[in-house]
Amino acid sequence: MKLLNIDLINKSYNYKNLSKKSLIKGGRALIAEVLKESNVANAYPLGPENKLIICNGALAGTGVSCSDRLSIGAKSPLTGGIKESNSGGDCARSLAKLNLRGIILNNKISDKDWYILKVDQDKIEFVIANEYLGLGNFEFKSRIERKYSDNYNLISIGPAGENLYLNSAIATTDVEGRPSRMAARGGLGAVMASKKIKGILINKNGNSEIKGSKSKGFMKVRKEFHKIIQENERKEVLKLYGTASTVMDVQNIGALPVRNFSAGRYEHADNISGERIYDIIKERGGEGKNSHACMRGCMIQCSNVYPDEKGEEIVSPLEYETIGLIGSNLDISDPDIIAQINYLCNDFGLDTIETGGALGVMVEAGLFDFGETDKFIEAIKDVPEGGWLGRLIGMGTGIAGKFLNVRRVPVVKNQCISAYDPRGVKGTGVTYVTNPMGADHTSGLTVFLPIDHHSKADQISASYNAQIGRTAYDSLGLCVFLMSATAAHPNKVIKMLEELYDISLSEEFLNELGRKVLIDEFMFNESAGIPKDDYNMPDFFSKEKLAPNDLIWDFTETELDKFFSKLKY
Amino acid sequence: MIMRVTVKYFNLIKNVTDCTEETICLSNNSNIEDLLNKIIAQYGEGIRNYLIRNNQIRPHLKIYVKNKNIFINDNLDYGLNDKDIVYIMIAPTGG
Repeated sequence: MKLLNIDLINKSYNYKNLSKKSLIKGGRALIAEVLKESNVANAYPLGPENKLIICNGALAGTGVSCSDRLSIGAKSPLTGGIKESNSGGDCARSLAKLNLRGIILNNKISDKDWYILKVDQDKIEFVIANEYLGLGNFEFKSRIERKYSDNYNLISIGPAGENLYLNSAIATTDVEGRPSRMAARGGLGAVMASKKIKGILINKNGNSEIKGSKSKGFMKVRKEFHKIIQENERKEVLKLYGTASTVMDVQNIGALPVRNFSAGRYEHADNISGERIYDIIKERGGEGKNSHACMRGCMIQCSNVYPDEKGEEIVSPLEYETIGLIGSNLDISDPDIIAQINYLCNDFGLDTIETGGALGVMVEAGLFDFGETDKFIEAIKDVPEGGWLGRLIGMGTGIAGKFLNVRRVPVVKNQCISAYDPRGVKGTGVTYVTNPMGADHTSGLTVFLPIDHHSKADQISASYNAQIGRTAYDSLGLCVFLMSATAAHPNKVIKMLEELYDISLSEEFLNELGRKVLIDEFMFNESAGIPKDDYNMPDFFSKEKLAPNDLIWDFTETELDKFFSKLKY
Repeated sequence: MIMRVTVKYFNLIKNVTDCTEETICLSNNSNIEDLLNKIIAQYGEGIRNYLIRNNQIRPHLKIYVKNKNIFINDNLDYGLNDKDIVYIMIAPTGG
């Protein structure tokens, strides 16, 4: 297994063979290590010093369900700290089949042209990409497919990235080739654009195999791992209703983002619920699918394909966070409209969370009213045009709020809060303020735990355990949706790694991995000027009671310090 | 005396009941266990596995009454009142 290092200034590259000790280092762990060691913490995130790291995890391409997450990381232009954002799709598997753990983009293209990097077995090619500039991800993918047939997966940026907007995602292709699996958070699209790379083609047809993947020992434990997934009842909820099934749970908790985080319950939640979306997809038929795998061999299949009234696809997938931030947060209760906006965001390369947050503060500033869907769509369509409304959306929630002098701006470390109001799901609020990535639920979601989410009791532990577990999974390329089934069986993951790479790991390997990566990330942030105890939650969460349960954000710094006592850092 | 409780079903539970909402009549002073037993009697053993195991609410089940997930507060002996609205779902796993 190798790491591909590309120097964009010289258009040169080399392969580094990974030592046996480094074989299992991938995903978020690899990103943290490369960034920490490369001394870029103080660099301008959109300058040549920053690195863009794209990598898979140790189990990628081995047929283990949900093990093909693709991690993308850099110093974030949005937060100023470390960022790892991961997506499903087929790119991580393709990299593994090319015998690659990852690709590191160093420096930036120095001539006037933009490029596509074409990655094949043991070679890469720089292809001039100027003809594709300005294209959305879907048209770009379509033209690439016409030129190269169906032989490549694509990692790409849309106009939001090209314009160096801080709310810019990197799109990756799913199993059917849609460029709709987004490494959405943290402005990584702008980092890719700063290097003048419009797209990276990954040959799908590599034939490398990890030797251990055919061993009887590995196949036996993989089968046991799959049995655990198969027998988990919550997998069925995700398979049928997708992540949208979270809507009514969070509605009942009273923590949905509603009208720029001004209430926790939405009177039209039924209309945007997983159950309603399931019924719409079933009734409309056609291209619609309630269960859809974004990665090959995924047993959970939480993705969906949302069709219009004619049965033609509007977007895939339509997921909870988008429904929360674009739906209830903007008072849009029509799933068709949410789906259309979701598609636009995917095409332009925008993070739907950051987009919904930015539009929310723009409403707060009086530019629109909640529920004015036509005006929202018009403003989003301004993103590629570079008009001032488009720029405000493009620069994200925090900058839009500052520019418009809005007080109620739902960001932590300048990143928009996900679709769990921290007053109502306090453990996830603890994650927002204690994790190195800012307001990112994927770093440590607690909403599904059987605890009282309104009380402060047990929330530090809940967030800590979630952060450790998710960091470990993100470091191995494992989808976090496995965790409801497999988190209680860390020995199975460890055994698969041992059989695959002929190594020996401790029983505590996953906890140790999660802890080490978090500490590496905090060290990076501290070098970048972001102290670990930067617990800043916007003050309106502490001052305004969240209806209907009259909750406020009430953690003290001393209480939050306990997170770092547990981490022993 | 009889009390009427509105029960709203979600995700996999809704698939078994084949309805999203219904009113269930219970005798006064009934609790969650009485309600779940009535639902099991109505829909058969197929739904029991989703709701109860070893006399405990299944850990992945969420039952909301009056803005609270009662599993973490009072468990099966949580007392119900006339006109209560009870929400029952299998816990999703987040977005």
